[in-house]
Amino acid sequence: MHGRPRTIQAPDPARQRHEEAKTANFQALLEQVLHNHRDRNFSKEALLQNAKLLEANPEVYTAWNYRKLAVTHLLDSLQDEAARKSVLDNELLVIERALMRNFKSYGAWHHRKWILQFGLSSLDHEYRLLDKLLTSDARNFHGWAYRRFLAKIKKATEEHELQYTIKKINENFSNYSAWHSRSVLLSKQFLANAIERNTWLKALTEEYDLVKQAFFTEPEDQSGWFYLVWLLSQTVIPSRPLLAGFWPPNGSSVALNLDAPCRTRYSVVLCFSVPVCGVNTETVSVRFSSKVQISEFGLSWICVPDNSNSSKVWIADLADSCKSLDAGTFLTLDVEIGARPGIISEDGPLVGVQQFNFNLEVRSSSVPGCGEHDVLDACVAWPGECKQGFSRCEQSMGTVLDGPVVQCERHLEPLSDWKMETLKAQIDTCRELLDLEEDSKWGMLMLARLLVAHNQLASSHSPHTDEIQQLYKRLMKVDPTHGHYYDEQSSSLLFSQITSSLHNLSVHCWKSQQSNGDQELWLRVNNLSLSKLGYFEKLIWVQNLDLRNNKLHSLEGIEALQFLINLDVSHNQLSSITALQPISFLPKLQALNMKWNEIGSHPTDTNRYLFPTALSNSPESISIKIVKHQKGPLYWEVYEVFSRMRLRQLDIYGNPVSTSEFFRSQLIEALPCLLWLDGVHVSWGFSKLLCNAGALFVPIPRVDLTDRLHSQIQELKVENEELKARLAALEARLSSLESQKQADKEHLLAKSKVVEYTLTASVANLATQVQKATIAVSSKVEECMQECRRKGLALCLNWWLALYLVGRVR
Amino acid sequence: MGELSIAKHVDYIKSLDKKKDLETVLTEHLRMSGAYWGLTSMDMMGHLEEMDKEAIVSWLLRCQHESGGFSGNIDHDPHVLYTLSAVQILALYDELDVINKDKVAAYISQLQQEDGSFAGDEWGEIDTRFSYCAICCLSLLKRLEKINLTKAVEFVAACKNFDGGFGCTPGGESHAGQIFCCVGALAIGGGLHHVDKDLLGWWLCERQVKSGGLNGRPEKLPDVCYSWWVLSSLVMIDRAHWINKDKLKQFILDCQDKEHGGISDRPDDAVDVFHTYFGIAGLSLLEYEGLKPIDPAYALPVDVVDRIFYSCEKKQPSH
Repeated sequence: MHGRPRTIQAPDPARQRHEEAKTANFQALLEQVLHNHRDRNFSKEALLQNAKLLEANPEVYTAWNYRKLAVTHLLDSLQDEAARKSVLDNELLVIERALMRNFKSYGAWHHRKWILQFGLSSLDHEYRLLDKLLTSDARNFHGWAYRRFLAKIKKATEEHELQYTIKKINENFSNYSAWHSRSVLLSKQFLANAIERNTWLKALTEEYDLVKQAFFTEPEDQSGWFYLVWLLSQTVIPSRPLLAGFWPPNGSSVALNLDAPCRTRYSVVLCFSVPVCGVNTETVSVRFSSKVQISEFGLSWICVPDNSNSSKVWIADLADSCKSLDAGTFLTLDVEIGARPGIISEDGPLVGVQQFNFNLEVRSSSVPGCGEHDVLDACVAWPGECKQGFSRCEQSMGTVLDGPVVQCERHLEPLSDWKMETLKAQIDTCRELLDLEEDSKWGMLMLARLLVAHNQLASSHSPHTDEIQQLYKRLMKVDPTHGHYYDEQSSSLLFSQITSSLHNLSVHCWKSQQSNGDQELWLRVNNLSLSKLGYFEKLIWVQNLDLRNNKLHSLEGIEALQFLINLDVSHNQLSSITALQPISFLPKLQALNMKWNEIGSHPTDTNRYLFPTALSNSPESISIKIVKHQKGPLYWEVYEVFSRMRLRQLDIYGNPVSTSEFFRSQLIEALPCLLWLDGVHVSWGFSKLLCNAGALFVPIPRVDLTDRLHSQIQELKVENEELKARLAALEARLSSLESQKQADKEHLLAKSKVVEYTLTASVANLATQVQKATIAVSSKVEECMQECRRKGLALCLNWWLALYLVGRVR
Repeated sequence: MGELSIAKHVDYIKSLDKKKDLETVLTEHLRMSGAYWGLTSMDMMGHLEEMDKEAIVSWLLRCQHESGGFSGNIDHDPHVLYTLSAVQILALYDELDVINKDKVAAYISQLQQEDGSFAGDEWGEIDTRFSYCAICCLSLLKRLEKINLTKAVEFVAACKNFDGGFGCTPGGESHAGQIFCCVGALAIGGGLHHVDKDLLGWWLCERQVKSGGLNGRPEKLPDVCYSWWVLSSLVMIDRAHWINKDKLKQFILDCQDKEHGGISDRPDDAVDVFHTYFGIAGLSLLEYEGLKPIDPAYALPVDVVDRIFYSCEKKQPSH
């Protein structure tokens, strides 16, 4: 019984007698009431007996049914409205008394609504009564439902009801029922879109102020925080669908070989941020231009998984639409998503229109480069187990990929100024709160979420990542009960970092050398303790994925990787076969490594209802096909998950379930294309052989934690060795650079000396020349002087001679 | 950590049938559901065979009405709540063939309304609890084609709220019990894509309070019954690892009456069969050693559900 204390001592005899008498009375009354009901006895006395019973125990639903029959019967015989009203008013009184006993009685509340529908009762009276109830029990959801019922009859406006919620919230910020009601009423206004934009923005700003008051008053009360999360999702952080990713990338070229097997067939893939429906030839236009006209290219869209009409992932097989085209045809296809309305999620229609184009070349198998190398006869080597033949990618990824090309863009609608300001204001508010209440769990969590949203809007870099990771670390300390939740959020952020740019991704890209000379590109996101993935829309191009040695318990969302061929999820925490269901929607997957997970060790299957099976009434369920398995336990999950797949290689060793021979034989039956199971060729009949050999052979090693740890240690050692080698190589390179630097320095020094010497020599040479020139000039001057003197003497002599001659003449 | 006193709980459940106290009389109108809670608990603990199957089935059949529906006890009116409990009991006993399945299905299908919702009985109370009862019951009877399942699923989806949870009717506040009904109805009806798993999962995991127990709505007290309502919903959407399982286990075990058997809503409160069932079912979802695993949607042991949907084995006619 709810809230009734356990009696420790035996009740005293007097009390016991009283209890027994009460029981007997009630029993007798009940029998009488049920008897009257059976006999359709609607006498006054019978009605009184019934009222007495309901006052004592309003839960006797049959007694309420009797009253409805009685009321119908009485009203039929009465024409006078006043008399009819009096019958109904009497019912309201009976209900009031019953509600006094238990105001959570479903039967009593329903009877009240049933009476009200005759339209003869006073609504004001009902409102007054309800107000009393919601004052004494402010969270009574029957009461709130009844208020909505009354509002509908009275045609009360949303504004009127919103005022009431404000009143209740101001009485007590912790009234979650009132916040809920507010969300319902405001949603109606959102949808009606009836209010003028500025009025609407003003109203929203008031909402943010209201909720701010709430969590500043009671920072640890959940009510306001849940409301804030919703408010943000409605106004700032978009919950409406966006096109998150697509393939082929814009401007790329796709060569389509119509005769090639599955592996080289391509689909156009669209990934949305939330599940949508309505993706079809109307809403997604695909066109190509020829010499004279623009024509529609008919693609037929299906969603993944294909059991529902709503999904994040939609695909259209190109080959299906190219059947009529000749080899050698070359087309440029223009794709426009959201050209016409119709793509819609539960939160509303698609945001924006997205366009891209790609070239399509149709080939036939005779064209070289379309070989049949996808037939996997040999075992796939896993990069985490076999270091040989794998190396990190040095060159840019685009050149390694054959076919699908990397695409890693963000497609977010820019926020309006108002939205951006609101987002920033909320970030500031949370910081303000955390200044006051350092360890406020809700303040930290909200700040982390707001920063994540802000990160996503920053076009290229993610400025808050470190701060968010710190917040999650602190949250794990402050609120360890929800540690797993915070750990997943933190993982998700790490994964978003990895996928955020080609540069970050390239760190995780490895290439493997195939025996035939081909190279394969592996994305290796291993040994990172990731507990949650995401952002698959940025990885649509991935063909080989290594997720080994993380803490994954789910592969939710991986169905977006429509080109995946090889997948390694070994050494994780997958706990059931059904946890593999997302990969059953990957048409090209050939090899799966799921060694050392926890399949078979958990009786509670948390993925049982996440995909179509007989339990969820899927028409495609295989339940009919597996009737013949009656010996030993039936692993129906094996058939439901694997029977649509074309796996050629499966490594399952190290899971508790893998030791069951029934399990293995059912696996082989469910997977008709399977060649290799745990490294043993299926056709060798090994399993049967080993089974018969009994204890002499141990077909599958027992699951042993030590084994698992050893294997992990071994792997980490190998990884460690490899990293050491890398470090050594880098160090060697560093020291070689150092010596190079020294040599260069010396060389430069020597060179500068030579220059200096040359310079000095030139200067000296110049000085000599100057000296020589000076001497030459002086001697020339001297010469001139002497010449002058000679000439002067001659003049003198001439003069003297003239004078002499003159004298002589005289 | 304390242990589950299985022997005491078995004795407690066996004693219920003979009790004639006030409690029993006050709840006699829902005896069908009481029987389902008690019997399913016994099956999870591996003691179902200690109950008098023949007496139970013959009493159960006396609760069926001309319309095909079952009532909570003899002389009461039929209702979809007790129709489901009756079908669940027969499923538990592998005795679904003793009733006219078409007749039961006809009773349920006439309760479906134009908008896809279900009334509980002829008096028209609409609630998503009844959508769950109808869908679960028809699925166990393999008669889902008798209703408009698409509309039924759409109505449940229309009850989704701002916090990702579900209410009784569109606009009704989220409540863990109601969430179980809606998520369960969507799971069985193949409509779980309507659930925002991360939003709802987060709201549900925030139901865990410091003591380790779960409450049904924000800022409310914990109660053992939410070990089932919350946890089964979390299991169906694969978010059960977001709560601290050890602390919840401890809370449930602390609510046992170790002397007289039975489990109560909170430690040291009076026990009843309802909370005993929800405590044991919660522990079963938490993989408590020695309990049969329970299916989170049909609320029946997994082997019972698997037998119904994945076996064509004809059972031996009962004697």
